[in-house]
Amino acid sequence: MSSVKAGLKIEVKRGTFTFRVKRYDPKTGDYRWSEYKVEVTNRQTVLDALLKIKSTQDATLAVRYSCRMGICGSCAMVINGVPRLACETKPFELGTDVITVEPLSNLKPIKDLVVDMDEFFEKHKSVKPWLIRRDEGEQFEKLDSYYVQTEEQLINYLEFAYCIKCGACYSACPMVFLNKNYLGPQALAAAYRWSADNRDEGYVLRLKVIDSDNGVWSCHYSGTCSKVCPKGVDPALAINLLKKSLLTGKPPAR
Amino acid sequence: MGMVAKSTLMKWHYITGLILVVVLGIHLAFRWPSYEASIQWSGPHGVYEQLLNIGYMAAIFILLYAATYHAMNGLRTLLLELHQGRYWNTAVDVVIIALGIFIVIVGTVALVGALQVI
Ligand code: SF4
Ligand code: FES
Repeated sequence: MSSVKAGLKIEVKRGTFTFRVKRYDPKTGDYRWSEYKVEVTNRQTVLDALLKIKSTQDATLAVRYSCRMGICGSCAMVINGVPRLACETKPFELGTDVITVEPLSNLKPIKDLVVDMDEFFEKHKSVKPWLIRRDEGEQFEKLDSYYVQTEEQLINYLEFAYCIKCGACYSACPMVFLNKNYLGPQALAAAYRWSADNRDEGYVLRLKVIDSDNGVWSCHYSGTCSKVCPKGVDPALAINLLKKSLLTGKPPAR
Repeated sequence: MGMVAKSTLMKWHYITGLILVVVLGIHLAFRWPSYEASIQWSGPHGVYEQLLNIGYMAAIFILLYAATYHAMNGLRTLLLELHQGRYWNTAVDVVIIALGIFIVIVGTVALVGALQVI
């Protein structure tokens, strides 16, 4: 089927895919696989397919999502073995007729594809991912003062500010799998993002967590985090820049 | 080893790693040209001659201390990654420090003992 708009053609293809969904049952504490056949178009995403399954075949299937446009980070799951955003992954582009969908690894499952993000956000919080100023009075009371930032200073950390906290990198990291206390790529990238911000003065306060047994030194540079990030953040680079700062004694360049 | 910054431990890990490349190289060079001859007591390249060589013996002492630090820190990192538990970190630190001190003492006694023979 195709539709014509203002002389431009939108090509719509249809195809039937088999979705193999790994589901966690909180009552038994076990996983099981469910299989669904569903027709989708080349314009639709895995999230669209899962929601179609939910409304037409199995209302008990638990999926988490919100924005449906790659902004909120809620719909990350393991699709065909790789952590991705379900709302940004098109079945037609995966190149397989059978598509496996699993909950994010390295996080406790809640139900089916929904995982508990508490531990992930706790680690994120532990690096103090906010603007820290020595003079809090000036920061919070004198609201008339702005902290100036040039375009160059912004570009210095901008890439790392694009993180949407989806947890894909955390799920892909072999070191998080091995060491549950390891902060993981997302939290460390956030630590770098704030420490490399010229307006921030909190690098020293973050050292306690980033320069610890479970901080940057637990990273052995597998690079999977950077490979899977749907937002083009490069957490492995941030971790290595933090390591460089720690070894040279110089805070991140701002 | 919570009182020492991890970056300090890692700095020394890298430094001792580099030192090891040099001193291990020296150690291996002394097996040259014949390994058999180098482990005989006497002879032109034998152990007695090696003990008399101050530079070589300094390298061997450095090798002992650098290898112990590098190995113990590496083992500690490995153990902390393999398992996590409430008392695990403290237990690992105690065992690693004790083992490191033991190796350094035994190694030093053995090397000083060997030097006293000559
Ligand atoms: S760094 Fe990328 S993969 Fe990791 S949480 Fe942020 S957006 Fe997701
Ligand atoms: S639903 Fe928001 S990122 Fe996918």
